[in-house]
Amino acid sequence: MITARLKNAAGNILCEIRLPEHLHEMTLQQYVSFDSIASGEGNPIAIIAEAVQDFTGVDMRTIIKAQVGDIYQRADALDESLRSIFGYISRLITTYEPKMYNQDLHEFEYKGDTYRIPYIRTMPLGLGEVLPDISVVEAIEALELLRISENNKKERPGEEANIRFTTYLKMLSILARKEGEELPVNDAHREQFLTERLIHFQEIDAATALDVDFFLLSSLQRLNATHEIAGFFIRRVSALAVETCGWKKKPTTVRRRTTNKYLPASAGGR
Amino acid sequence: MIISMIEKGWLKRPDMSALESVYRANFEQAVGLISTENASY
Repeated sequence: MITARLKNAAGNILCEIRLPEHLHEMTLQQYVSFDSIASGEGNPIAIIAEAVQDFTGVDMRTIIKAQVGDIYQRADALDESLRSIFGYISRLITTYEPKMYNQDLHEFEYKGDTYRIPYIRTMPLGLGEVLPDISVVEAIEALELLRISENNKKERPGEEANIRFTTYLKMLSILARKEGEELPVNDAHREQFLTERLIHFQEIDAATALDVDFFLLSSLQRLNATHEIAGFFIRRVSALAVETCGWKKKPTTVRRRTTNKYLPASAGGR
Repeated sequence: MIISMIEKGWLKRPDMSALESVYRANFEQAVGLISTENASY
């Protein structure tokens, strides 16, 4: 973690902020929330203020006193302005390169435990793909989750970021498994297991989530079949870069003073 | 799909109940059995 500072227009320090140096130090919740605000429409300064406030937890009364900086200039270093902090977080997200999982490495570490994720094995000599060993109960849970998620998105489009976040965590709870662990068959026990696992995964860091997301996306793409829940977060990384780079200065409405070459010099011409 | 497989006794394992046997079965195998049956009608 590094420490950044915010200053007001007079140059006085308003507060110190702890910022992650790597996506491993950022939670998925922070990532989703930042992405959701940053890709919104409206006044860029209001978006920057809200995104920084939400990410860092600094009080909005302090944020609005801080100097904004030139939002149309690229922020290469933390210069104690809002736009430099926003730029730093955006750059951290958009420059992340996911870890490449393969047939030998399809597990991740979380809170001291190792979780395996299903993978599609490629047969040698291009003889096709071997589907992951998913049980009937896991498939039913996963398909039911997707159905409910799609319904929720249609009914509550304003909460799409939250719905995706919950869906992703629940999908991870269904598919990621510790060694020797099985999804309970009893409905009540299964529901309890998935709820507890979902709460357990809530603090998952953005790097691990993006790695797993990228792995699921790339393995599904090999089958030319995918679902939008897989790869959603990793696709947002590039979308965020495009959206935040798209902020351009608005054309001025004031006419520039020009000389009229057809008028005599005494009347303002040349 | 589950009820159909339980009734037919497909994928039944002696150490498990009928429901547990189906739930623990490989999904690809279960789908394969059902599509083979559907194709034979």
